[in-house]
Amino acid sequence: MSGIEGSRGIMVSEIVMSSTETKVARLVLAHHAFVRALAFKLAPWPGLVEDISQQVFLEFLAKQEKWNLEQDLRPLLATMTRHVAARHWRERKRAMPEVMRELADYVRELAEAREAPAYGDEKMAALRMCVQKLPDKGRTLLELYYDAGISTVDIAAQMEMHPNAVCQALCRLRGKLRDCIGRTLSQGGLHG
Amino acid sequence: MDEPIEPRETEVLIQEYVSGQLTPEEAAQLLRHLKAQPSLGAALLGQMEIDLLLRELTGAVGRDSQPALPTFSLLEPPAPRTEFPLPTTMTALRRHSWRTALAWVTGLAAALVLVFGYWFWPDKDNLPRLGRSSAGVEVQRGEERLPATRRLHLQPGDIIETGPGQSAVVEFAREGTRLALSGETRLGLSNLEKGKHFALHRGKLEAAVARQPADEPLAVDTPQAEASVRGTRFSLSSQWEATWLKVLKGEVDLQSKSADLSRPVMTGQFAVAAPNVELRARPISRTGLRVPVPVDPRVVSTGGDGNWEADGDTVQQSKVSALPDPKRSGPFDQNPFSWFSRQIPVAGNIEVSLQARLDAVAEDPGPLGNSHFGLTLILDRKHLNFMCERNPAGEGVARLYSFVIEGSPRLEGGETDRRVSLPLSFQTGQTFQFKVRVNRLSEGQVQLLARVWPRGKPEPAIWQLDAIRNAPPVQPLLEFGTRRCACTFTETHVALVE
Repeated sequence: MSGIEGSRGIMVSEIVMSSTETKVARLVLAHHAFVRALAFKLAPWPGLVEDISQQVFLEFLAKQEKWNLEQDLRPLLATMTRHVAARHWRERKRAMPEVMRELADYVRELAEAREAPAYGDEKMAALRMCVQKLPDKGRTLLELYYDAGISTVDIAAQMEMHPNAVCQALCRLRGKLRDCIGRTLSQGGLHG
Repeated sequence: MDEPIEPRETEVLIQEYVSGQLTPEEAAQLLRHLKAQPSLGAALLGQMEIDLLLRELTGAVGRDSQPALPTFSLLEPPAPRTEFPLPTTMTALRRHSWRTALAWVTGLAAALVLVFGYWFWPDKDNLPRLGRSSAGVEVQRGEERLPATRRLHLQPGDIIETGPGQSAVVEFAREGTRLALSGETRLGLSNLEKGKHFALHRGKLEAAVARQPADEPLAVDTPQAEASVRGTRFSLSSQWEATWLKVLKGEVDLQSKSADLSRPVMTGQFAVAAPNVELRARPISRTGLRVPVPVDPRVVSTGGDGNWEADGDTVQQSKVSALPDPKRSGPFDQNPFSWFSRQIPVAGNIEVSLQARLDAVAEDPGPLGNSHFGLTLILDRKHLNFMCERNPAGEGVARLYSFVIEGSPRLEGGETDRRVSLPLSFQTGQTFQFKVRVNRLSEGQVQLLARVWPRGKPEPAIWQLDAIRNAPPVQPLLEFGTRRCACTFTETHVALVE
């Protein structure tokens, strides 16, 4: 781990152990995956899931004294997520050309019709393991795109590939990861 | 009937969707595919889901987010569990994604103004300093040259210089602003008065800039332009008389010095400040950054006996060029071409495409041999030729070669031929498409790439001709040339490419 992460780790520990917000922080962490999954179902557009989940928790925290933290918070968070998602969806769509709006609505219909994806520690651990199983070139590509934030066009220039080939490779890598995660979890997870 | 769906095209469209880079045309195409093949919907959502997980895993939370600190390297095995920074008693927390947990708790800390030393952590001041740099990177401070060590605080007047293949990062740690310098880049810290002012003398940087206070922007000055930023992610490069700005998030004002104009450039757009290029925001497409450049319509020179006539973009010969240029001395076979040239008014990486219709050829074998037609880019004295040669039977080759007027035809030091000829057949009346790329490798060297194919056939997927040549960084002349034939040249397009 880097020094920054290390200092972050210390900072987090201090917050968690010494503040009265411990419970709130725990609740946020415990429900983060739930909110993200719902946000994905309601607003499957690039970048919106993070925006929505962040906004939900900001609003949740701003009014934390109003909530009964001993109760199951999922119904409350689900309602908040729906409202925030609807707001973000409306705002994002307003800036889109007509054809984008049509596509966005179509994809949202598809997402609504399927079960919300499950996010959780097991899935993340499976993903981590599946990434390690990829060939070096695949991991390098993911590293450049996701870690370094380099665009597909710039990766293509660096790796002397056509930009379309980079897009296809990323698509196939994600497909492989999806299959691998599915296999891993269906076999009883990492310890199964 | 529905158009057939090409899986590779669909993969590209899905990637563009997932990355938020889809253009309206691509959106229409993707929508058609989704409606025609319902199983694609599940694939698209599955791709998005894995994309979100990967972003969470690597800490790249949100493609439009502020710079994220890496939490997991995809190239390295995961850190052992014992390094988990949360207290071991918090088992409830550990059942969830602790990487996300860190990010969220950090967000909470800011939101709730829980001052637990984060902002006062000695590692987190907001003065400009060096982050990770390659070995060999130096900071020029007055007469001194300092090695670029991590956390070296920068002072106004400092210049960071990277060599080929090196990189360096300038960061404002507290607010999270980062400027990542590519190789062969010179970036100076000008001053910190009313903002953060840098000068990009040459090279390229990618920046993730936290929101800046009003009237205190982060500004990067280049020889051609100034980019003024209030909070965004962008890349900026200055080379070959052009400044390229690519905005990944937010808005950047780009002010062109030569045009004395300023234009806002928004998320997903880019702009170029360069002489003879219109300053305006353009959408970033998946084929890279490129802007059309108008060729100067004035004729620079013509020669030979081809009777050249120009009508706008169409340049046509009314006579087969049969004789060498009578104005030039020397043997016939060293000076046989008839030509027509115009000026390309930019000096950077360029791509030229055009069509040449072979209208007529001199069929009888003469002292000047086979028919030739094609184009030449002339950079000062260097002639870079992309020519088709045809024998009376119609067989021939497309060839890439170069020469210097009154110089040796042999390759100079540093010049290489990778692939310089391609068999082709040429029939009278047939039209050929030329696409030629000149990539500047350094101040005095270019890579030449070319494709030639008959119109109506698919464009070759690869560059068929490829060579390295020494050539100065000047604005090229575009010359159409023929020998023992007559052609019509049309559809000439020149693009400046990043």
